[in-house]
Amino acid sequence: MVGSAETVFALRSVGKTFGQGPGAVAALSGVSLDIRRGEILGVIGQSGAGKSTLVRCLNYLERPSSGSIEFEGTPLESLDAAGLRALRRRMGMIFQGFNLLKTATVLENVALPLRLLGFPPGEVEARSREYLGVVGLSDKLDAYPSQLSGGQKQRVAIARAIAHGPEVLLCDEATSALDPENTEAILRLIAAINERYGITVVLVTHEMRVVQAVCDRVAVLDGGELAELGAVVDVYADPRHPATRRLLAGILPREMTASLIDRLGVHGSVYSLTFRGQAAGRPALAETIKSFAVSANILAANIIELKREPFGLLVIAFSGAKAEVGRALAHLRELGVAVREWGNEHERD
Amino acid sequence: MSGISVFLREWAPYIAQAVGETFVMVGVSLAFSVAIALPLGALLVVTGPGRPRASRLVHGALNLLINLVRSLPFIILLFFMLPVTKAIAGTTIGVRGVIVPLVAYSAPYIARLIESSLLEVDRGVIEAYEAMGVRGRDLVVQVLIREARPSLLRSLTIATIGLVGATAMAGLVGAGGLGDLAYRFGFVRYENAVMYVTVALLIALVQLIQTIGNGLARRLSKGG
Ligand SMILES: Nc1ncnc2c1ncn2[C@@H]1O[C@H](COP(=O)(O)OP(=O)(O)OP(=O)(O)O)[C@@H](O)[C@H]1O
Ligand SMILES: [Mg+2]
Repeated sequence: MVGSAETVFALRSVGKTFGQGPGAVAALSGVSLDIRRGEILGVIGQSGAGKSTLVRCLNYLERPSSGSIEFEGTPLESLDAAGLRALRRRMGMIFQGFNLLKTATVLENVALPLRLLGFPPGEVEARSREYLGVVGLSDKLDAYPSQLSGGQKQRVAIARAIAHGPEVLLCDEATSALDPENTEAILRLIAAINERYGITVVLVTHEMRVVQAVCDRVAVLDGGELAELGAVVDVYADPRHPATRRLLAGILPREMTASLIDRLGVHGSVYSLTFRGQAAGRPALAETIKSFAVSANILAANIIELKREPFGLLVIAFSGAKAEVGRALAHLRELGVAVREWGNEHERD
Repeated sequence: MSGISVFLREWAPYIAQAVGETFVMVGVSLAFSVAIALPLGALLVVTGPGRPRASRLVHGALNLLINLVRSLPFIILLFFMLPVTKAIAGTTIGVRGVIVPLVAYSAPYIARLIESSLLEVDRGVIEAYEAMGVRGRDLVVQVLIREARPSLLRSLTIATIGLVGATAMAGLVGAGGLGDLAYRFGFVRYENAVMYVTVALLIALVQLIQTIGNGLARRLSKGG
């Protein structure tokens, strides 16, 4: 689901400091952001950036030391113990380590929380079976976690996290312990659950690939601060913060390109073209070169599949008469391609 | 008539009685000890640093109390506690008189074993249930203790065998039991056969407890 305009979580200048005095660690500082109903928000950053602390503040497993968090207009700090439990029942959470009961079967792992949350026995059974079906484990009801693969364990954890019908699913590195195949399957499952039930998902990860596969928007954390926040495609097209660029370095080779440009000495005529959505699927560049008296030397090219649309980045050195290059660029823009002069590309157009 | 049946005719009643006394002492003091130790162990865990109900005061006080009582060997505890025993049990002799010191001896020990069993439960699991809005009492009983059951059973097996050992000293206050039988007849009166039979019975008893404990623990930890 694409997020709606409605805000589920409103964070205002949220700060969290662990410890006191000289040994204190500021895990979060001054984080303000809104999480929209129905969206999948990625939270990314390097190890220690404060990602886990941020999601754990959303269900008050961690209490912010400053600032405020509102859930649907209710400030979390105003809740007493019972109010907090009621709030948590509207959320589900999954973890890197799955956190299942080893001594309970798959079915019991999903049923126990439902029972403890006060669902009547018949409904406990029905819901457990239903949601284990949703995650594709109907044939493993009586297995124990030790008999399951990592991907299957995370499926049980997902069933457990959504069986009570939460509005929000918090995922802390839910795929970090999985191999690429299982990672992809779990991400697909999370996206499908988001579509089907409209559950808002906050997905913490340190891998940009996870963000690009399923997230609508992404928040980049760096040293406990919110470095960047935006639609995934915007952030990919125009990463502004050094932390974001670092994270994208392995995916979009900007730095490599920069050193190549230096060596080739083609400064001045180099442009980055970002193709989004429709434009990525059309042979816009080939068309343009045919129609104008310019030639193009492709220095870097990359097309990746984002959640909703393909996204391409080309870095090109144009040669030809200056006016003709100008006309070619204008034509490209008409075709929906974002064109920026290299080295000057961080003025959003 | 064979030697065995002569022996049995003479000693069977004493042995049967001693076995019965040992069972009663171990069983009753184990029940009381667990009833005291389970909440103590759980309290130790939940009030520990970084835990849901972290409290330096409660945790520190409990630790101190448990360590104090555990410093005393059973034989000293037995005599040191005589006034307390008298006040609680109404007597200081016989099976009844030995239950109080046995409980005082094993409850803190079992509390420690329970603490370490509960600490083995992955904190992430508790956190997962906390994150779903499960209340604190259920977290302890339905999640923490439930998940620790196999380990708790192994701990209790160890504690029960320890109790069998402690009851052997109970003869000093006239409580009887197998240890007392071996001491009074086997050692003092040089009845070697009684000594051997008692030793064999004690070995069998400990084996039995360990086998039952292991079996139950295995059944509860099918998942591994
Ligand atoms: N309970 C805690 N006590 C003390 N310091 C903590 C605690 N939890 C987190 N921190 C510190 O806060 C900072 C942010 O931690 P956090 O776990 O949020 O990072 P992260 O982005 O999730 O990292 P990772 O990718 O390694 O999981 C780190 O410096 C960490 O050491
Ligand atoms: Mg983390």
